Amino acid sequence: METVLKIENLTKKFNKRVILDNISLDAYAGEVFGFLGPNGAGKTTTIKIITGLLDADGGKVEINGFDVGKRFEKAMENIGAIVENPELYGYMSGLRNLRQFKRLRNGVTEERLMETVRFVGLENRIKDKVKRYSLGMKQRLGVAQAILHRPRLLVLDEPTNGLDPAGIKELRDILKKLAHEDGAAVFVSSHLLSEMEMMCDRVGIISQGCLIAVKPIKELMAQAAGDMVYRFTVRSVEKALKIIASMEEIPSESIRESGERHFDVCVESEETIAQITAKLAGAGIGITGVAPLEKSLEDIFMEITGKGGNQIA
Amino acid sequence: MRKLINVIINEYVKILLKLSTIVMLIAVFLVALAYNGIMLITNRMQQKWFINIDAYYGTYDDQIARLKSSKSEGWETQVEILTYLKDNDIPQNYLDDDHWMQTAVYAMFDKKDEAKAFSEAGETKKADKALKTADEFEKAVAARDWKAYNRANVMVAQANLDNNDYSGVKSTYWRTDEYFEVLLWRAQYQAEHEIPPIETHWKNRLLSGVMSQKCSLVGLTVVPEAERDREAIAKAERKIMLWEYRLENDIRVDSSEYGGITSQVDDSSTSTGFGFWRVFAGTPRGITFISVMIIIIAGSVISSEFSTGTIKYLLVNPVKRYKIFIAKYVSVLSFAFLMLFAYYLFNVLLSGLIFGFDDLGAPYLYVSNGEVAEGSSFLFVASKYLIASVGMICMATLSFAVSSLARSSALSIGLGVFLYLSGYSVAAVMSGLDIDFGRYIIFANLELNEISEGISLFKGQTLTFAIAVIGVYMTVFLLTAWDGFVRRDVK
Repeated sequence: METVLKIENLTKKFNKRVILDNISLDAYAGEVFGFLGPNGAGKTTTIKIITGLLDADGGKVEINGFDVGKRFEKAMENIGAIVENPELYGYMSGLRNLRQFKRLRNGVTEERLMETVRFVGLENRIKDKVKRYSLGMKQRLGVAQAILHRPRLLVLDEPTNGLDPAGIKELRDILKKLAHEDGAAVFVSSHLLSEMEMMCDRVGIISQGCLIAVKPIKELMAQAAGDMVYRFTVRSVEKALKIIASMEEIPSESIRESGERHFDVCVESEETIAQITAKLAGAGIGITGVAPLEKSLEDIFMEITGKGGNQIA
Repeated sequence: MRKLINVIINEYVKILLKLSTIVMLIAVFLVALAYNGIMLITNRMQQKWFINIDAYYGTYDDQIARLKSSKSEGWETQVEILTYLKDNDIPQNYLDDDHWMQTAVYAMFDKKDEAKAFSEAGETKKADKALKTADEFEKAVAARDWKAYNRANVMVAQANLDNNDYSGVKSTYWRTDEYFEVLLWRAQYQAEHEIPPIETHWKNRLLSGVMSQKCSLVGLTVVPEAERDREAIAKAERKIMLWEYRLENDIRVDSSEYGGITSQVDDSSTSTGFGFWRVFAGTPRGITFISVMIIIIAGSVISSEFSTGTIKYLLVNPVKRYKIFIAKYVSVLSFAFLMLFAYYLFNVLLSGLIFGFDDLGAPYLYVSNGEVAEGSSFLFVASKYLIASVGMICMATLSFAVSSLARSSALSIGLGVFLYLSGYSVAAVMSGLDIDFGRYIIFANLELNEISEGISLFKGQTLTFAIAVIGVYMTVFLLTAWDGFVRRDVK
């Protein structure tokens, strides 16, 4: 696999506070790489160093083999980015905005520009002023400027922030297409695991400036799925708990009362859920809902960090 | 290089598409329109005032009636003259081209009186001459021939010099001969060059100007050589040279009359009213408005990218930051000069449409190596524009630097405009309080026009010094701006 983005021992401090601590990772052509971490973990800082907005205090970033610090222009020719919000010039039309970028990049023809506009689905509104765009349209225009010059690496910082579900799906499809069909490396940051799951091929997890793990999303999800928590909503929690307590295969510590009408059960396999449901139904407990609970990112961090050093990349 | 040009194009697109720029552009051109309009109104009002004064005197009959009832001293002679004027249909409006006839009639009666006085004193030769002159005046009036009137005037001037007196009164003035020589020169020049004796005729005015300068030269050279006011003498000599040159070469309008880098002429009596050049040469005053506009643009060209967040998208391009910095500064500067140029052309057009394009070829006269040379008037006004733009460029650069450092439009625009409008007063106050280091403040050095003429706020401030101070400040501003933009992180 061709390495498009190479981050080596990246360190950044703001006034002696360590923001990024010795981060190293690679992103390959043809994949969507998710950069996952809670707010304040250092995602935006990393992206700003990748795009040359900030200088690193240690380590280096290479894009297509070009060091961002030393061969800035060469490196930037291979990168397209949306950093933080897609803020473009509101008093210009979308088309004029794109022409601004066209002039600064090599080999972008007017045909390519219109092709990009069609690709992001803005052809009907491209002559409107950007200040009249919805957030979703601004995001699509942001993507258009980022992919205008067919970059090898696409960097997006929290691209789904503020988008409605339809917008998120659209963006997801665009990014997947760019990676899987056009062979670009797509580097996306997010603080939502569910989003990453649907979009990414691999993820790197960052917390407090340290990279905790880099692994394929499937592996991470499997690991996260190792213990499943289900929430039962019943007419009588008290009766239900009594019945479950009588079941030998369920240890008492895996049951948690979580409210007046529901309780959570931690199980190792879905089979156990079926058994519980059957038992409760048989005893005449009215079950109004059984639903799997999504684990929070923090839960997964706890698991990864808690399960020993062998998991840390 | 191609990238640099593309960034400049981008900056121009950004500047020109902003609503604020368009509003400011309109405002600047409205200022030009207003200035020309005010000049036009002033011009019209002056003419009206002259025409109204005409009604003040009343007709000849009215005047005769007034004299007869008042019986003031010498009223009989006055009535005689007025009757002559009335009988010969001599117009009395002194703005009229035929006004010389009235003067001629008075001169005729003067000469007749003189002749009487001479013959009573037994000087028959002089009496004959005076009568002959009176006769010449009468003939000139009868024939309505101003050239004959000019010739009669030469006779008067010659007689005055010969007799060393004026209107029959023996003069007691010191060195009257020299004055009479000047008057004779004037009369001869007017007759030889056939300059019409019309009050408002430019040649006549110019000739009067030369005469008065020659007279003042006589006065200036009375004192012993060591005590003479050399500056005043040189000034008068220069004026005489320039004006004689204009008379010789038939140059009605000389743009150097309207203030110069080294102002040569300040006597407005010779200027030709509100012509094209007078109005156009005054337009550099409007550059203040362009300056404020450019300072506003310079103060927002970097900081607005930060406040809208677009800076991140600008910098994530395969263009090094220093190129973007240079492009932004070059864009502001070149836009400033383009604005000046557009304003210049707009004013040429506007002043021309209002005051006529007839004088367009008028030269700019100056004295070089003791000779009069002709320069381009358009270049002269252009140089006034450039000198007026020095302060603008300095304050725009300051605003640009603050904008780059503080990344705040409000601060940079506010500071830039405030200092541009008030800086000179600060320096003036320091000068007034004898705080000598005030000379190192940039505002004390921006008025290059005055400094080159030797007028400055602090003693011994030369043009070289001023330019050096400006250079140091500009370097500091630009290095600050560079450091703020190129080296600092974008958070």
